Formats: sequence, C-alpha cells, structure tokens
Amino acid sequence: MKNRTISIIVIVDVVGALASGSLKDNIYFIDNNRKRGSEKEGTGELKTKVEMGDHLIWNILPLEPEAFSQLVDIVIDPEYVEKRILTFKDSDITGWVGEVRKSPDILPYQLVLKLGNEHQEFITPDSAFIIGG
Amino acid sequence: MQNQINIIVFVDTIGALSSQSLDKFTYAVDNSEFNSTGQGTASLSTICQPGQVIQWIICAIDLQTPAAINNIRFLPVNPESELFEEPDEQQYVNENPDLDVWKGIVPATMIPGVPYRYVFEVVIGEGKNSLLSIQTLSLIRN
Amino acid sequence: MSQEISILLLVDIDAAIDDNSLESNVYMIDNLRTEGSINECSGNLVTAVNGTHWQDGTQAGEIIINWLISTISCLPPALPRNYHSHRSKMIENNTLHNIHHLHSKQDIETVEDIKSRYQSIMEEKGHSAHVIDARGEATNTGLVVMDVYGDPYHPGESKQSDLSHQQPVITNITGEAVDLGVIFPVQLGTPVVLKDGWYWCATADSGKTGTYKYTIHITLFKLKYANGIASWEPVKMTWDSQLKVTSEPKRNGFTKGAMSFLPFK
Repeated sequence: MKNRTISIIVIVDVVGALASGSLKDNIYFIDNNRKRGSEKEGTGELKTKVEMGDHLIWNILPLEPEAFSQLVDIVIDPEYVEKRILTFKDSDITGWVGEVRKSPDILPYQLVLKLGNEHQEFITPDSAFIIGG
Repeated sequence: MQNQINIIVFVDTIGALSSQSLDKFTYAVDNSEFNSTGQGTASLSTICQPGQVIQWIICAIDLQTPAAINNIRFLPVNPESELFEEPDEQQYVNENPDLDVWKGIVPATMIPGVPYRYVFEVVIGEGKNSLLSIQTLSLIRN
Repeated sequence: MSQEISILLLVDIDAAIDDNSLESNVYMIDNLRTEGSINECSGNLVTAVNGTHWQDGTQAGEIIINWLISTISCLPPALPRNYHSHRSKMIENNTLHNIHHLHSKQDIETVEDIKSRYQSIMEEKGHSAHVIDARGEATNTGLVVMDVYGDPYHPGESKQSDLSHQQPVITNITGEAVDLGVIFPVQLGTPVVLKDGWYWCATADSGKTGTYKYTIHITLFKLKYANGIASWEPVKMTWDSQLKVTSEPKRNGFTKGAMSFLPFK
C-alpha cells in the first residue's frame, strides 16, 4: 500500500511581495496533516509531520489570481526528502513532489518562487519544516 | 465651457509593480471639450481654461490590486524651455491616500500655450517598492 | 473608485468531515493585511472594511466583498478550468484504446486471460463521480474521481489522503452583519476560473461603523462508494467570521482641507 500523500498549500500575496521586496508576512503555509501532528498551520513556519515513505506535494496559490507566480525550486536536504518535478498528464503544468526517504527530527527547508510580470525571484525568508519523530 | 474636467488615469498595477515603472503601464484620458493630445497614453496633455475645476481619478485595471494617488505636484514652468526635469525630492509618503480627493481650480494666472507638467505619484501596496511616479502628464491653456 | 475585498477560505476537508466541524479546519485570508485586517490565515480573521464619507455623511466609495472557497488537497490552481473534464475524456479514450487492442497482447492466450485483462483495464480507469443533490438524487457528472496527481483515484489502494476533493461551495451569508444592513450579500455567476461559476459577494454600508459577526454557510462533499458507484454526498456546516467597519472623511488632496486653486509654481 502506498503511504500517505500530504498536500501543502502555499498562499502568496504577490502584490505584497512585489511592493515590499520580500515574502516576509506575505506567505502562508497550510497542510492537511494537522490531526496527525503538523504544527503552526497558516504561518510561514509550518511544521509538517511525516513518516518515512510519505509523499509531499506543494501547490502555490496566489492571492491575486491574475498575477504570475511559480514555484521554481525547493531547497531541502535530499538525504531526508527526495524532490522531483511532476508534470500533470495532458497539461503543461508542473508541480513539485517529495518522497520522505528518512524521517527527520526537524528539517528546515526553503522555497524559491518567481513572481510578477518580470518573473522576479524570491526566497522564503523563514524556513518551513518537515518533522518526524 | 464645461465646469469640470475629469482626468482618469488607468494603471496596470501588476505590470507597473513588476517592472518598477509607470511609463508603459499608464493610460490617461480626459473629457475636456477641447481636443487634448495624448489621450490614452502616459503623455496626456489636458487642455483647460481658468476657472474650470480639474479632478484626477486613478483606476487600477485589476480591481484586486488597487492603486491610490500618493501626490500630485506641479513642476516649475519655464516658458522658454519645456524640458525642465525636477531633481529627486525627498519622497513624501501620504499616510492616507484613500481619503484624498484630487480636485482644484485652474487659476487665471495660467500662461496660455505652455504645458504645465506635473509629477503624478502612485502608491500600489505597501513597502519600499510601492511608490512610483511619472512626469509626462500636463495641463495646457489654449 | 471602488475597493474590492477578497476573502479566501481554505478547508481541510477530511478533518472537517471527521470532526463534523470547521473548528481548526478552516483558514481565512483576505487581501487587507496592511490595511488593518487581523489574524490572517486562521479561523479568526477580522476583515478591515475601511470606508470613506463626504462632508454630508454620505458614503464616498463603493465597497465590494467577494468570498472564495477551496480545499487544501487539490489539483494545482494553475491547471486550466477544464482540466478535470479533459483528463476524464483522455482516461476514457485510453480505456477504449486498451480494450480495442486487447486481442493483440502477447500474453493473451485463453478466454480467462482476456477476462482478467479486461477486468484490470476497467479497474484502472477509476470511477465516474455522481453528485447527490438536496433531494437525495444522484447525477452522473461524467468526471472521474481523481487523486492529487491527476490520476484516477482507487479507494483502498491509494490512501484517502491522495484524493482530490470535490470543491466545497458557499451557499449563503447570514448573521448580524446582514441583519443590521452592514452588508448586502448576493450570489452571482462569473466566468472567472478560481470562482468556478458561482460565488457570493456583498456590497457594504461603511456608514455603520463597528465590529460585526457574520455566518458563512458551506457545503462540503464526502466521497461514498455503494454498489460500484462513487458519489459525492453533501455535508453542511457553518463558520462565523467578523468585519470591522470604519469610515473617515474625504478631504482635498492638494490642501488637505477644502478645495482651492491648483498649486502651480
């Protein structure tokens, strides 16, 4: 049996980020694993609870649907979480998925986003986390 | 002669914020009964007469990304040269731009035939990149 | 000039259905953090409705509030709106193609082989979802129940966490803010992608300053399998939120007082 897939949705205030030049206070993480131990839902420092073998899928949701936003990379230790790009069948839309190879105590990670017409690059200022234990 | 001229400045707020420039993302129109030049561009020159009221309204093309007028200030007029460029002044940040109604009466002292350029400052969102301006709009008495 | 306020609700559907409550399972965000809204991305959002008025007290700017709702586990919002139906058709085409070429498979020798191969093709294609309406009647949507990867969902084989849920809907906005005439909600249709056809919005009377509660009526959908048919059954819930209405007087931009001559230099 496949292990769980944990969805992490990342809400971005694109205008807030472009106007202030930073993702600070302009990004929120929520996952669907609160009942199994995730903490700090709805903040920039979400702690997603996982077990070995779990799959993670990240989705970006811009507050302003007309603004361009894209997740271009996830900076995470491959010893614990192996990341790859997934292309959704019959579309040209891609997403990021990860497989938990080894359950960490507390593993910080960062997201790299491109926002706005000029595809300006932003990195999350605080870390979100994957927690095991 | 109409009592009031409305100048509506349309701004593509996401475009302007992304490229940090209003130049290519501003489309100004007015309803002056005279033939203003540059309708629909960032170089609108509104033709007016003393005694008329002029009102500026800003309109963000994306309603979920609103823009507000931070300030409108007129550049000194030199009848011999129209190419006066103002040096960067201390940036004035309006605390409550949504409360301002940008409306004023054209004074009788306005010199005919000379463009009165003004600095049109816009604020989009909040933060160090939120204040943008253009200097290519003007009023002119015919 | 009008101000459009967008309030987004995100629901952890499985947890909400398990708990039969949205408590700790709904997160609300608006686009007014810098304008005074508090508790962003929580169940306790207080939305700042900043109005303005003229000297005679009449409201100076139109205020529109839009409510949108979505789930945490879902297919990416970036996918085109018709992805689900397009993908369902592709899966159907693929199934027909596999059945058509059944006879040409190398390892098909007996009738039993054909039967079991056919069986696995039919299982692979997943289930078409029905939606149960208020009268308890089921309508076939023609859309395959999918997982968050865009593949057919198989109960038992995939864990429930993989499921891409039928989007919840807001069915009404009621409460103190409506009863006191602070907001006037209405359901409208729209072609906008994220709003999926229908959405609730309201105009606001910013003359009624103060903090007001309002109730959002939400229908979630729970997946049920019976007699080989997959159906989304509605589960109704409500969630309370608040609006904080203020109003400031308009003033002239040039003088910060009354209108005067343009300040030429």
